[in-house]
Amino acid sequence: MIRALYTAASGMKAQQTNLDITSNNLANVNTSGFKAFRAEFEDLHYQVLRQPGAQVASNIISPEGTLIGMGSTVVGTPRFFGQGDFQLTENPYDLAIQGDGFFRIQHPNGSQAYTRDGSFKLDANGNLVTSNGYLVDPNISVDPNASNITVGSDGTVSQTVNGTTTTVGQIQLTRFVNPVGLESIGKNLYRQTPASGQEVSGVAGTDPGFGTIAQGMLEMSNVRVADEMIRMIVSMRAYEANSKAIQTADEMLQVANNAKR
Amino acid sequence: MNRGFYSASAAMMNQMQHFDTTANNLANVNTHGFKRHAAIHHDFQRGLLKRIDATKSQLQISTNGETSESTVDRLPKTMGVLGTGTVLQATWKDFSDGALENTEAPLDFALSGKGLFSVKTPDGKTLYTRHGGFQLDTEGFLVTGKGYQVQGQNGSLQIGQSEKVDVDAAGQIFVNGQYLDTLAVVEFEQPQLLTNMGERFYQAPVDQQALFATQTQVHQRVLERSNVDVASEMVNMISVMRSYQIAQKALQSEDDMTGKLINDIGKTA
Repeated sequence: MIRALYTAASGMKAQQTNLDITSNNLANVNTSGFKAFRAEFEDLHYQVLRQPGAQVASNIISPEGTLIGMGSTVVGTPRFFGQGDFQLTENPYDLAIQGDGFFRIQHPNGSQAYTRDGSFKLDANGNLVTSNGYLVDPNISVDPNASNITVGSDGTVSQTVNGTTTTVGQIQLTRFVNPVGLESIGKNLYRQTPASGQEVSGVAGTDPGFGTIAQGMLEMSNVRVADEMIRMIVSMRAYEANSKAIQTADEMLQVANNAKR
Repeated sequence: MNRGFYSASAAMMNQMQHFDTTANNLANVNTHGFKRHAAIHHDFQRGLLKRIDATKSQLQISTNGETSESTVDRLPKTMGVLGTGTVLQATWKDFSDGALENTEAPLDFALSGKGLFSVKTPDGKTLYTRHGGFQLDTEGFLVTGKGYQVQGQNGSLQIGQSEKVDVDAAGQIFVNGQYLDTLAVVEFEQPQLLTNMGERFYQAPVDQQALFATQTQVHQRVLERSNVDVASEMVNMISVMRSYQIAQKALQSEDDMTGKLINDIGKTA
């Protein structure tokens, strides 16, 4: 009986986390480059009252065992790295990646960070930076007097100063074998981990799998509101069902207590 | 008299275990690839009731009206059988298909039919699972969330850093259009003999041969939801709860009767 109480409580806790994930997805429904999370659950271990296939008589083995599960838990929150929709902004520093690549960013703490959010700006020195002022790696520096900035689908940045067009650099893309293993550090940034594998740098458009860069566009969040709503309903109902189990367990304990008058 | 106490308490304990199973099903109502358990009860050993006094004196009346007493040997008289309660016989794994959920992730797989995915743990053990939410590890192997390598028919599946993975209904994996291997989807003659290891894995007993499944279909970009049906678990819960109450009432009645026996019989008016 006490078992059932904790089993149901584990279910409630798991569903609570499910709702936390859903709320975070919904809060980021308009965050450019955001990739939706999903809560993954698994069953906890089992108390084996009788092993399946155990000998029950001299030459009879039990065809099925008696296993009592101990509930569920959240095992992970993998992100879904599917492509988000594109939004046309016509801002020359807004870049979107169509494909699996990431932009590499120079984190102020000296390490590298990665992002799908290509809403770049220029800082006071003409460097291409993220909305938080972090430099793009390798650094792209644009002439303050440049009139026309073009970013090619391969990431080549060119500027026009006094009628002459020159190339100022190329935006590199990076990929990971297992992007799900990247660590999210907020500000739309990811950090490499042993699970994601080493970064692989490449040129957009030419190296396979990196994707191409589109200028004047932003990749929107890939959160699908309808899906999240359904997840919310499902986790809410599962939460309710588990709370009913706790109630019933409680009632049964009460019945047991009332057996002695 | 005392038998009734133990029968009723056996029923109560039994309903508790049944309820534990229901609670676990409900806790896993959103666990992808989870298969529900059903509790099976059976009656406990039945006892044959017999009268103890096998021999008894008998009064005989002769034709002339004289009475005489004699001892007659008789076989113990059978009074019938009496059940002594109930036990949880087994928890039966319901391997029926769960609903499929579209996730759009290329390494999410689901099975429809009896098959199970095979995975290999780092210590070389083979485990089986219905949950097909896979990933690539840093070496490009197809692995589960725990990092266990998913098995193809020719061993572990090294997909590498590829752009395009396609899997058809038979489980054949094509990486960038090139055939790599076929997912080892297996089934067992007696799937009830599998043991739940938790974490959605099953372990097979040594004598159960894993056979490649022929009737199972593989779906890509979808996950199989838990096959727990909340409505039937709720009904289960109500019936368990009521059975529990009934058993408790039986226990109390038994107690009342014992009380009467002790306190009221032999009381002088």
